[in-house]
Amino acid sequence: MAVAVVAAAAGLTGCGSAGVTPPAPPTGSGGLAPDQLPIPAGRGPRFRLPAVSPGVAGRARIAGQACATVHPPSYGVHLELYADRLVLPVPSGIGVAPPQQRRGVYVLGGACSYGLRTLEPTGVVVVDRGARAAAPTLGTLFAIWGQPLSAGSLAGFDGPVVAFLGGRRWSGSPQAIPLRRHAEIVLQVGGELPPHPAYLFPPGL
Amino acid sequence: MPRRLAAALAIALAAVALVPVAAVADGDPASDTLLGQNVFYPYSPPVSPALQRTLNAETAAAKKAGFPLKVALIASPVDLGVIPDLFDKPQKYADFLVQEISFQTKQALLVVMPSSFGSAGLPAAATAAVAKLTPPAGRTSDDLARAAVPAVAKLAAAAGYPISSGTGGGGGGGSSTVVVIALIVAAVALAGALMLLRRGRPTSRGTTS
Repeated sequence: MAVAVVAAAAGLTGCGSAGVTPPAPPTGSGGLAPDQLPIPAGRGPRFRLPAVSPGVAGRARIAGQACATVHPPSYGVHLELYADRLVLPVPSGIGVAPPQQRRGVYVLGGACSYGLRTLEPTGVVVVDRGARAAAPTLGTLFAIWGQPLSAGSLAGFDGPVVAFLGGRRWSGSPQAIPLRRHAEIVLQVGGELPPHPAYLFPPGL
Repeated sequence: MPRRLAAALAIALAAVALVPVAAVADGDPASDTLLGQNVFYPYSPPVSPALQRTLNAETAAAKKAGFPLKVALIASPVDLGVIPDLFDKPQKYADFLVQEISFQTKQALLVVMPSSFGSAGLPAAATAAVAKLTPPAGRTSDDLARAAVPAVAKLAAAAGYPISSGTGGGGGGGSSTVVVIALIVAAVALAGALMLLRRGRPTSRGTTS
């Protein structure tokens, strides 16, 4: 039912002329905005992506990023993925080289880790504050993850990829989305859903 | 023809019923976390390790006893991710969260917020018991966990799956573990008795043949 409401609300997002366009107006019911309605999670191997890529397992240098044991202060970015109008979970342990230390669904550490990594299965990405002024990009995260990302492919799902940054449509390459502090990024393939505009981050990020 | 139509409809309905219901998830951290473990703990301040061990053991014992209960401790709006406006609305959040973590059947769920409890997917007797639970004594993460420990035991008992409250921090499984150990001991004793019986039989057979 909720999916139907969300699906009906889809398509309200327009095309951008200067990178972004305003988000769809809220049309939800029951006191919740349309982006706050539950979305079904996908099941099966296509929706259960491994966290550790061969490059990370081999502690290789990836997209200019080295696997390190000491990290500078970091901040958080939130990433949500949807394929065929289903949640595509972002696993914990991306960018953390095995053997990983885990407590429940959380990753506490590993042999070494990259400047972009996930420690929990919530879509929160930990980003090291780099020496460079420019923020790292989503393309770097996907390179570390070992999953494809382009305008026509998202982590094994083919089709036009629609991207949102802070609830606004991103008209450029999804790989180029900057991972700035507290960015809320939504990627969709195979159907659009109302994107969340913001995420409340835990302390310290 | 109408019979054929009815039969086709019945087959279609049966097919729909057999299709697995998808779980649902969203941008609140508890929904992602509870798909992989029994308790969602607040980000900050963290619940003390001893209380975590106790609550983990207790929910594990409840699951072993036949009452798989998920517990979400929500101490601040940060614990709700994209829906911080549901903070201190435990019943509304429980109604929301249960949709996200249920698969074939509705998942039994207890939400603990500083103000009170919320629940979903519980048997009627357990739902009635929620209203009688003692709310958290304070607003800290540990206060919520301390309120959850007796609450889990009371809900399990009300649902007909009694466990001992606060089953210890060492990962004990509560009364269900005791039952399992007792069953193993009984099985070993039975096997021993059977072996003794078999040893005795050749003699008697020998005497009769």
